[in-house]
Amino acid sequence: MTLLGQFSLWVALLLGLWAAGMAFVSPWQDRPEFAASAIRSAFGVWVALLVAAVCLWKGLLSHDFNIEYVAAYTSRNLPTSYVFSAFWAGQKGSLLFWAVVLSTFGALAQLTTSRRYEDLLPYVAGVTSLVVVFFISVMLFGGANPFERLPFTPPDGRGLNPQLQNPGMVIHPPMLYLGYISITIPFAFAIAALLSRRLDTGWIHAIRKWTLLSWLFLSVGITLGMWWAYVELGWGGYWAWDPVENASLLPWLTMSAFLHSVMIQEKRGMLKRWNLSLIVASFLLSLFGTFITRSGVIASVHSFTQSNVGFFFAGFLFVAAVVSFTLLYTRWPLLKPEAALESMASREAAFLFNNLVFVGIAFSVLWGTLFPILSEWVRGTKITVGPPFFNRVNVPLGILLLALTGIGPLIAWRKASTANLKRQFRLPIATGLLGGGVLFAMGLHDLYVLVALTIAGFVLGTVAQEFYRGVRARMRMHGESVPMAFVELIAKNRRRYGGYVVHVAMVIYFVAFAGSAFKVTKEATLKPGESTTLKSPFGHTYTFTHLGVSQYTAFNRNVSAASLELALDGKKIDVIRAEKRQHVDSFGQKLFEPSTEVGIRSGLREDVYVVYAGSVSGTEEASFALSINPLVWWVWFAGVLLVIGGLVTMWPGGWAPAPVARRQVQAGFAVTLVESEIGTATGGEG
Amino acid sequence: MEAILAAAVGLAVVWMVLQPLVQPAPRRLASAEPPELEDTQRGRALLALKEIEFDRETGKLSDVDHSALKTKYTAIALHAMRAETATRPAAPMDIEAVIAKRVQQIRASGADAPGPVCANCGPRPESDAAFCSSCGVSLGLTAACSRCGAPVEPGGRYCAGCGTQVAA
Amino acid sequence: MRAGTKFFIGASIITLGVTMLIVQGVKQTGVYFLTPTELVERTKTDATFYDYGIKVGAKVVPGSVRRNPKAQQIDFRVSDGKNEFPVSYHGIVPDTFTDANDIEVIVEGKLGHDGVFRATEVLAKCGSRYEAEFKKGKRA
Repeated sequence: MTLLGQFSLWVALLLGLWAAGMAFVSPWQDRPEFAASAIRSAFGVWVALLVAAVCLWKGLLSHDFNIEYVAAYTSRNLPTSYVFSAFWAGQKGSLLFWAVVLSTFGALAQLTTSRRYEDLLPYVAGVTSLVVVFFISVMLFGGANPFERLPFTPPDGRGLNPQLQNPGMVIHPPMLYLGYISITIPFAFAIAALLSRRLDTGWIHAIRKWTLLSWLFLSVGITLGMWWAYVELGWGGYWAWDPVENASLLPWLTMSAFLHSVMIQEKRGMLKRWNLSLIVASFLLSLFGTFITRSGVIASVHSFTQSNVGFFFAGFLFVAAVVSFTLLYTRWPLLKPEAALESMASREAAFLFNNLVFVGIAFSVLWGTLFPILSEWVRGTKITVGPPFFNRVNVPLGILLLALTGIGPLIAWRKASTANLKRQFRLPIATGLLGGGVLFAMGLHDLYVLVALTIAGFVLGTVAQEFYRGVRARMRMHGESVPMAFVELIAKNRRRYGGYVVHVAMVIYFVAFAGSAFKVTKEATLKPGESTTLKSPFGHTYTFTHLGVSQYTAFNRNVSAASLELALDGKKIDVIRAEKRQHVDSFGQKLFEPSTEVGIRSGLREDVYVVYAGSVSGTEEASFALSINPLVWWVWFAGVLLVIGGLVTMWPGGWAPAPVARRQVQAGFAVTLVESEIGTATGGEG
Repeated sequence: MEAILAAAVGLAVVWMVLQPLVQPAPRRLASAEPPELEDTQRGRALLALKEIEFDRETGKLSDVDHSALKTKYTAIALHAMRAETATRPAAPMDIEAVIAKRVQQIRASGADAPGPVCANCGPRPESDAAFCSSCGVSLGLTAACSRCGAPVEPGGRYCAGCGTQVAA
Repeated sequence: MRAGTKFFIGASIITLGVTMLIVQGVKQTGVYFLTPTELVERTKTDATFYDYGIKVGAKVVPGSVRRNPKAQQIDFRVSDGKNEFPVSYHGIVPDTFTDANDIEVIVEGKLGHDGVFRATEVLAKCGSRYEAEFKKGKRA
């Protein structure tokens, strides 16, 4: 099927170019049929790429090892779900995955966007097609063609890297890709608005769901990435400020800033330039993220092999940046704000500061990630900065951001007076201080953690008060019962109350991150029957007793498993198994280096994390790295809560007026249109 | 097999893309849907007013701020509404009247419309009609007196030539 | 004072704060990343590079790895082709660290006056995946 796949790629490439050409010529020559053709081409690109994707999947699932990509990333004994996911395990396949998903999103944007923004759609088709064309060109001309065949057929493939043989890995990269890719749609709308000079709030409404969607995908992707790192990389943590991790955080930060600042534009007509810049920046940063992952410019544990694909990305990044910012510059005068900031004591001001902090964090992360390269350029020596740098800079900024999370919702839009501010802040501040005080009394003396947790309490107080007062207000204004008022409160303003759920999720993330400051580790070499103890930060004692090492063969690997009996304060609670795996192909040949499978006992309070580091010269005496990781479970829980909040926010409806009212408005509008049509049609004769 | 599939996909896609150029769809109205409420000045002001009420109710706005903001946004909303009504006919609109007006206009300009034309009733919708479906007059000829054959004035009830009553 | 002016002052404070944090952070946590040759040259001219936190990127000399699992101790030599020196590390090395050829490592730690690099962290990167091998057809 490689012939068909290859052919489809070429068809998609030509169609993409056609779409872009037609889209940009159409308004210039005033030829609406060109625009129609451009949109059709965008759908054509989608169809062609779907065909290509099916071809690659067919090659993978039928174990056609004559295809280089199939041979390089799968083997006969690889479980089918991993064969399926090998589609995006390697450089070449993941480029195709990008292109397919982007064209799908492009088509969805065409289908789901309201007709009232239809004059933007040809441009959107043009921009998305151009980005797709870029990815296809990398495949066809950058030596990354997934359909390349080998001059011979190996009897078995090289198998999938064991670190990628994990359920988290099956979904984490695609989630992150979906986040990266879906930013292209808001970007395309932004460019469309700039090109067409339709710079009112229209384009902002057209992309509202898209920005939320890509932010949600990014959040989920990042959280799943943490989970993967935690269970698979075996160093006992989930975030190491690795360049690839940083790269995924960057667009997330700018998108988070945008989600807040866009509300100011919708309500007040301010910040138009800023919002456009944020969208453009998010798109460029998502490209930067893929560039980092693929180019090998900066060393990382997550990156693909070094290849010349990086040059393509650097070039495209540069061109995209120049074009977008030039366009923004030429439309600058059209983007005048419609209002000025009324008062510092207003929600707008809080949002402005929150935006500054988001962008500040993004800048510092970008700076730290690029610092080795920058320092080499400027001073001739490479200087690297690691987790200490990022923690030093971002912990204070993160705490400031968390505080703003609690402050913003307490202040009214437009302006507020001191008396009201006092009434609003009293309770949340008391909650925070009380929480902090209790923790201090319980023996928590770490300053940063104490401050962070106090502020976390403040934010939770804010959210609780917002819900409570909102329900009370509805009961007074509409005479509803408590549950009714609660449901209606959320239903009538999903964005606000869904947003509060996300805020709670962020608080939980922060608390869980703070917990990692109390991690306890120990390395021990134990003979069977020997034990060692570790004191948990919560004060109790874990005893680990080495039971022995067993060896067996599973279907694509040879396993040595060490079992440890775990006792909590002298009471046996569990047996933890940690493994060393040697993956083999279907002929029993060794594939890859041996890999570590950690043993984790997860709990609400803390995780017990065991790494089996190896045996002492073939005996059952084994060395272990043991650690107690407090509050890790809450990171995953926060991820789930965040998705719930995000879905509440995105649920259709909510802000729109009731359907009947809307229909009436539309009927009136239709009549107006008919009238004006008649006016123009018969004006000459009358 | 693969080549046939490839050719089929290719042809289908090419047809899909070129079809709008070969058979251009008629130009559509600028936009068939009204702008979203939040996209209009009126809508934004109304939403702001709603929010101001709610903010006072939850204790975020003091009464002084509330009334100041309310005055301001009420003025904006009224101004926007006036501006909107100035650019369109007075509501409520009588859709029947609009349609009747349009029909009249079409009739008035019936001379250059294709299809048969009744001398009494104007252009007919049935392109192949021999008689008017409204008044029964033959469409091939102008109305004529059944007795003497003289042409009858449209709308006339008696023949001007012989005085015979003409079928109306 | 107008709200805009006030905001501008607040914004300046935040921007200044972020800049300060970054500059201070780099100054206090930045680590030199050197090749063995660069390190040798530096230590010749500047004795402060002994017992100073640095990162060295180099290749493991094949066959030089000595493991002592009981003590969780690993000794090996790294080289960039011109200069090489011994590295000693206590702890668990990542799975990607093997005795195979062409293992690139990044070791972080201090070079002692005795010429032994005491690593606090070892990062290993497998030099190549299998694509290159396939093209040469070695595996067939």
